[in-house]
Amino acid sequence: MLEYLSQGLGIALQWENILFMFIGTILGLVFASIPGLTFSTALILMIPVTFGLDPVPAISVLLGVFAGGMSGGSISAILLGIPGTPSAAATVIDGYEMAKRGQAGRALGMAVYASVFGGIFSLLVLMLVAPQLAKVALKFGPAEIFALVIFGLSTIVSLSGTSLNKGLLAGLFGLLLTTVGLDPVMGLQRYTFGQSWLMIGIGIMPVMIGMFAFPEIIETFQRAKNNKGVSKEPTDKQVVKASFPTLKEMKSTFLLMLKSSAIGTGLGAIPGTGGPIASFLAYDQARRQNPRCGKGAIEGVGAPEAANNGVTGGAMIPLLTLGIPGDSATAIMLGAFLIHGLAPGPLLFQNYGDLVYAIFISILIIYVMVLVIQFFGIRLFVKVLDFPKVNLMIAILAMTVVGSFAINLNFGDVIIMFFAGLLGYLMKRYGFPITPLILALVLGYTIEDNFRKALVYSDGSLAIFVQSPVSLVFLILALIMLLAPLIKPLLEKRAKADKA
Amino acid sequence: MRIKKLLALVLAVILILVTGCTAADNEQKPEYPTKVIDMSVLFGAGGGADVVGRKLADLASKELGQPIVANNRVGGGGAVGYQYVLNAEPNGYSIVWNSTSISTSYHAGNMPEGQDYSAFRGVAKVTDEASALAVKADARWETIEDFIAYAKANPEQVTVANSGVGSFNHLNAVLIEQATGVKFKHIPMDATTSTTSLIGGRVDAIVNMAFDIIQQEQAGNVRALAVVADTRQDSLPDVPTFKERGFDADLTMYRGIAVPKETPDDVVKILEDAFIKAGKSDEFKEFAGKYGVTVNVLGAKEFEALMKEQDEQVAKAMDLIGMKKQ
Amino acid sequence: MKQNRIIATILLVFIIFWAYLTTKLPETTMLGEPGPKFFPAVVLALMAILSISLYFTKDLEKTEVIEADEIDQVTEPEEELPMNGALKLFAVFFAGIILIYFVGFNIGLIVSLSAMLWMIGWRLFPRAILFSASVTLVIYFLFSWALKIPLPKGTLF
Repeated sequence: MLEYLSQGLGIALQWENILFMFIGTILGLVFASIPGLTFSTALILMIPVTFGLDPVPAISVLLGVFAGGMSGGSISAILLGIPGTPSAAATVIDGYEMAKRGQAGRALGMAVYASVFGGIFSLLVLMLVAPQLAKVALKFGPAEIFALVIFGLSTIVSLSGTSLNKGLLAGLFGLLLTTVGLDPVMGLQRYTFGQSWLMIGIGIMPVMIGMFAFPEIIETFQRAKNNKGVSKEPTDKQVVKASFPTLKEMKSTFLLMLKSSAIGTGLGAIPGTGGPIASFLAYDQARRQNPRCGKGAIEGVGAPEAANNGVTGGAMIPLLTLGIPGDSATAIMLGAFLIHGLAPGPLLFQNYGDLVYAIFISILIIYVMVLVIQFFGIRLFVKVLDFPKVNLMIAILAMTVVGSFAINLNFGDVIIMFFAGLLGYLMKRYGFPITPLILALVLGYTIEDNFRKALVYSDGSLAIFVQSPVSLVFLILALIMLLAPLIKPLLEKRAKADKA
Repeated sequence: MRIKKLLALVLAVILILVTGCTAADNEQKPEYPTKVIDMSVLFGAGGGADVVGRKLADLASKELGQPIVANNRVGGGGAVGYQYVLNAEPNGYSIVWNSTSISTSYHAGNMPEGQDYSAFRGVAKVTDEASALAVKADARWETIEDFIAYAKANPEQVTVANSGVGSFNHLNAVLIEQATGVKFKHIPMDATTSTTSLIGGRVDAIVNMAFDIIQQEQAGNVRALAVVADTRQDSLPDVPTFKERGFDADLTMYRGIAVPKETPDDVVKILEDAFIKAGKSDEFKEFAGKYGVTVNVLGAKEFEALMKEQDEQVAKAMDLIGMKKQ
Repeated sequence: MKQNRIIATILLVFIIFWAYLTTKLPETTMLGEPGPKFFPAVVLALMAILSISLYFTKDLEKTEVIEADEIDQVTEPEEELPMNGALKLFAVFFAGIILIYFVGFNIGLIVSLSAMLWMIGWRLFPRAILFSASVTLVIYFLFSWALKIPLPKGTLF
């Protein structure tokens, strides 16, 4: 292993390799931080580039985009309230709240710290227990994934804010939206009205762009209008200072970071789950630790960011040990391996140990780069807030159109984005929280897909969900989460009565 | 004042951009191609079909002297991309990286009536991809005969995962049943999760693209028992075909380039020459080999005949599983 | 105002409409699996229950909300912006999107952004157009030219 380590170092530290990591990281950061562009787009753009590269630089540039993209998604989430990737949707809740109070720098600092923490944690897991974790991940069949995702969905209860009823309604509506398109098992068209553009279903990105961006845009425009079109209404001119979390904050959040990173790494390792659910589960953990989450607490920014970066290393586990990509990013990486005649799997570790270690070291270097670039970048990023807000919002409005179109090159997505924006505005106005809808939209397809496929396995017997211990545990946890708001007042009443 | 000057400048640039593009369209062009060609890829970025298609486009664009940009238009088992190309102007600037999916998506009812394979013109067929049947590496079945014999003795007990109801691999699983006279229990998954369900021990066997199986075979996770093809695959030289073992199943997925039917002959000819040359190049062959793809180039005429022949096969298989909608 | 009642009624109408669509779905299914209608039906049933419960929930008073958010005292309660104005902005932008669909990205976006700016009081047309045009140009060069990602072309020509 030491031999591989030194050989790997030799490969990873070649200047060419470092250069490509740097390019990848920057690209990922930039693409993820512009609302409407996603790092998946950056990955697709990099495919032809990797054709001409050696294996390690080819993987490095993709890893850079992946890691840079995961952490860059928080930038627009915090500064503009629009998540750059679905995985950053949970970061908006507290991050944007902090930015509104002039603490954008602090939130960004926390996000960077958490990203790097999660990334490096997952790297350690990848290096030390990848084969073992892969075996556990293989145990996740449709029944287990269904239970896990239901558990993820149950965090809606804590995301609902003041009205549980409205939160649940928003979540259910999100689930209903996922039924538009081709049915996951039979491939039948549902609610498509014969329109081909609806066959892909209601995409998460157009809805997210519309729902998060439009209420902000419309509010800004209305205020500008009230000010007689004074466009040079800068955002509240607070001095936004870039700041890293203090030692004390690091200490107080250490356990939470550890937990969140573990959630991210674990979910990343299970093909078919991934970033968004990890970040919401971690956010739920943060909420338990600090009840001020939701009103602008660093825990609420850190937990989801640690989790979604934990996914990067986690997703590499099934890829490297089994040759199975867990999501679209690792699917592209698998392609890059194959182009160079490398087949991921146990043989990769035996035959190309040096290469595997070069990849590990590259991930480490990439996270150092993420740290450095973002840390110095914070000062630049917060400058965005110095722009006259109307001008900024016009640019974002333009990007909502381009961004929603560019995902599938489908004009229907622009229409969906618009109506999602309108709905988001109305929901906000009438006290319906948006995040439950987004969470449900992310998970809905997976839930139905795995539920029905599990029943194909079991010939229709629901027992499959309780016979598997993994599935049983997650379903019980979900049940507790769902019933907590009902039971809690009862328990409190009882405690009070006991005291009296 | 300054603003007005700037405005004039910006407007001038836009005018040039807008009129520049449309004017070029309307002129009588002596030559094709004079601008970027848009190639629709029907499946997600990074997969085998996508990467090989991109490489082919890259090589063909060198022949044509104009870039060919691959754009992923995903959805409806290919239907979204096919419809995009059919709705575009048939001038050769919108082409599709076509496959057997034109038949599967049409018969599954995802294409408008009448827009089947015959709405397209074949330019060139480039590759073949075979399905294979694989079991876990430590399974009790060493050969395909063992497996079939066991399945015959236990009808509807052997679970076989495929990549979705009505998918190409599902059809092949059904054709294997037909050819061997057994009955499986089919489990619809998708390309990745069918593999994990096999390695994770939830199913007895999978029918999946050779591309997805080779890696697992090399890693020692699975054992491929037989491929569905006319001849053995270069990537799996030790694995017999069903045909050579006396089972008549040979539905192989083709991939090629197609354009809308109304595209002019001279344009098709130019494209055909470029793609045949690119497909036959050693660089492409070597590249495709890494993805378990067999290069087998056919010209426009033969390609159209193949599309027709396969469409009939697919229609029959879809009918067998009760998924044929049109 | 009985806001919750109105919302609940709208939701129930929507649920009935969606349930009607659901009954029209084909029956095709595989052995053991509940079919394409099952999941939407469960979701709709739950939505119906919650909508009915929303119907009978009293609207929150403004004061209650503020009381509940003790920590939020830093931000003073903002005045409600009129909804009509917002809907007008939405309508104009939707018209803009339709325009892009017909005439393509470049012209469509410039026109619709300028219209938005005009709506919010940039009465100097040259400045509004100049700004919209520069935004459009930057995006055009970034996507079409640098990244080779196609932009909406417009169906009219």
